[in-house]
Amino acid sequence: MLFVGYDSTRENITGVADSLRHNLPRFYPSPLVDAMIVSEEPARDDIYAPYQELIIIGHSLGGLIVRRALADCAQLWLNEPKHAHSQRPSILDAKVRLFSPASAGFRAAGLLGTVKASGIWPALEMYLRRSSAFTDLQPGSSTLSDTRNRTQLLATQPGLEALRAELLWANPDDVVLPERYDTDAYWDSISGQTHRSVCKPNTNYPAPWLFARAGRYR
Amino acid sequence: MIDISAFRLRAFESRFIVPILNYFEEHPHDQAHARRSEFMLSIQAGETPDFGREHERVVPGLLRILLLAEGRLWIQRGIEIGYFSPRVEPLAAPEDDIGTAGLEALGVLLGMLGDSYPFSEADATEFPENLSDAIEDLTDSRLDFLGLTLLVSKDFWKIRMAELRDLASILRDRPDVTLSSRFMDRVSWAFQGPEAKLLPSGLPSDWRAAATERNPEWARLQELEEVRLEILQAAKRIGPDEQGSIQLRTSFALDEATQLDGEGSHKPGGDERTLRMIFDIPDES
Repeated sequence: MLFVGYDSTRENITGVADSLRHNLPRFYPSPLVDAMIVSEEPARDDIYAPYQELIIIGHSLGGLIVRRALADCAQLWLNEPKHAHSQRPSILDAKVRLFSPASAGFRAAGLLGTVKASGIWPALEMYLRRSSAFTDLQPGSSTLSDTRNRTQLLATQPGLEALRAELLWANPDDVVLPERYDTDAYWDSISGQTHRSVCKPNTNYPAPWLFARAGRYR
Repeated sequence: MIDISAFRLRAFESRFIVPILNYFEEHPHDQAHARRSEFMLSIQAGETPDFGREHERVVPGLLRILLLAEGRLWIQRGIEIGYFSPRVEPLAAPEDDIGTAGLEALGVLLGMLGDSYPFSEADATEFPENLSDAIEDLTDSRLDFLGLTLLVSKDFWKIRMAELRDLASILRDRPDVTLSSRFMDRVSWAFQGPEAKLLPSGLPSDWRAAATERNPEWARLQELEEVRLEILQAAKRIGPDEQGSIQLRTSFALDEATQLDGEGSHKPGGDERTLRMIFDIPDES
């Protein structure tokens, strides 16, 4: 598993999406050998064998970033003069599973929505910086609408199935608007989980593992 | 046949230990090592060390000495429970000068913060999660917070607190203000530094967790809490749209009504607790 972190108080949503788009091919389909062996200790028997499957998981703001990265990647590929003959970017092999994605923005406008999503102090810092995570997640922002429009336009085209995400919402989720895209492949909700807990598995709550693996939890 | 416990050890070292060793390689004239005795004498006396004008050359190194000691304790504990491999030699022997100084300083610091040392037998099944939390905690804001609350001189502390009071004042006057990235980078430690997920529970990272607790014996935390309260009070009127603004003002008004205790005095930290309650945000402490 490769974990991708970012500083939501400072980093730009589009910038993180671009970084994901550029860097994921370093790890898939062929493993990044430098990351598979540390001080002569390998992570697995064959550190060169390519992966057979790519599953991208996102939560909350991460869900929006994943959608943005995939839509941009697909658009750039289609923009290539003879894209039908060029190799499809490997990131578009992905199966995409999102936990309570923030792709429709926060439920509450202004600082309140950010407070609910991130906690008081990170939210206040995001507000004072006017960070991308604050301004772009306001309901109706251009980042939200552009990402949605581009994804819905592209997702039905052959070879771009990666843009059709599978979703699992927390119920109740009082942080983000639980609105799906028209082109999403599957959606469901799970009761008794909050926006923050929905993606965190434990011995009594294996649903995140099941959903991540199969795109379904029941 | 791979040895995943050896890979785990090397991966931990590359993320936690190697950056610290690199720092000392890149700063061969770092003063922290030379001033460690002074540091330990200060904290044994229950005082914050005062390195005067040299603090900026001493504090980053001292912080790394403490982290290096912590990292070595994680490795020791991980080997004991079989999470890390005993087959491979850990990087840099713990007997070296910096390592020994760090372990001594860490012990003294933990004693001062009221924790137990050496550590209790933590549940081995929780070790990976605890280790992951300890690594995740190493953000710039947290490190700045630890350095400022534990290690810098009183004069330097006053300067940084004055910056926070300025922020509260600016916010009171202009709640719609946008602040520069440079200024926000400077004060970010006070926003997210005290917000650690770590809890003291018999782990090598306890000194970082304990430094976050609202320990009444630790005057700097009290002072910081009071300034944070000023900032929260000043932030009452924030809200770029009327709906959000009204909700926030209402919540602060409700908060004020519950804020005063029987003697009419203010309880530090109450604003935040009440906001969490009103917004239904889980308490992270």
